[in-house]
Amino acid sequence: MDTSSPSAFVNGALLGRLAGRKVRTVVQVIGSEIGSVVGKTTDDVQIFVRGSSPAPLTTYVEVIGIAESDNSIRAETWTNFGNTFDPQNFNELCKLANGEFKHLFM
Amino acid sequence: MNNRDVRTLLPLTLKQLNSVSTNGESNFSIDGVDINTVAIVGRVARMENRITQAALNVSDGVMNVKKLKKWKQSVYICYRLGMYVRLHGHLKSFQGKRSVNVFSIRPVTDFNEIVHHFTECIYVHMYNTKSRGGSVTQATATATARPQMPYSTMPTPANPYQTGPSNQFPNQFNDPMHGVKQAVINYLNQPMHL
Repeated sequence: MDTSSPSAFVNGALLGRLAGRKVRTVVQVIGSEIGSVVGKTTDDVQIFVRGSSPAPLTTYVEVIGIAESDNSIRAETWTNFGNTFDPQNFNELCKLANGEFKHLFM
Repeated sequence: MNNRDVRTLLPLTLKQLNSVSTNGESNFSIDGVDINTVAIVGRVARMENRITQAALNVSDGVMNVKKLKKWKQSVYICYRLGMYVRLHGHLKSFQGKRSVNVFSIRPVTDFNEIVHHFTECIYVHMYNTKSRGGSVTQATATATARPQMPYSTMPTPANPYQTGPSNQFPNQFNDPMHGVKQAVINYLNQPMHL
């Protein structure tokens, strides 16, 4: 597991700001095919997550990887977060962790 | 104040843990609060078993790794790399290297706990820095102000753990941050987080 650099909490809106950098997010799985997963971020943005995902996937999946663009991530780590994860709370955490309280995280 | 007299359990990110200030090998503080026990949530990044102790490195996606020690080796049988865990322990420093002596560790099974932990880190940081900073009007109004107790999840006679938002912000009408603080408290007071 690559732990060589810290990863920023992102939602759909924040992903574009961090292109090329390591990010972590939680998506609701919409669809999956070989080599990529289509997911909806916690702020309802559809993104593509490239990489080999675990099978089976739960409703919510945490992805840690490199932001490739404003709507795609090249995943290094996948973690099933189950079916009862609260996306609104995670979304608010993303805003706080990239805003006023960024110094606690990065 | 003797470090042992203040029993605090502080939820911290690994970034915060790495930036605590120290005035000796066993006295740590952050945001003006003495650190006694810390709570960390992260992924197991590395595990090693030794004869006298077991160690694992935990990453919370914020900092790279943090070395931890657990003195009961048998615990490691049920932990795997990549698994999310919550742990409690005492922060120690030896020859300039910091580590955490873990006395409690368990796997995370509800992943909302991860969000809750980081939100709590924010809240506690906000509580300890804003309440200690105070407002100018409050500081000058009372000549002998009662010393602010640090945020603690362990109830004390002077500052019992409060489940309601009653008087946690006595200066709310002068505090521009009040709305944000109240939103965070309301979130943490939801039944699933208690």
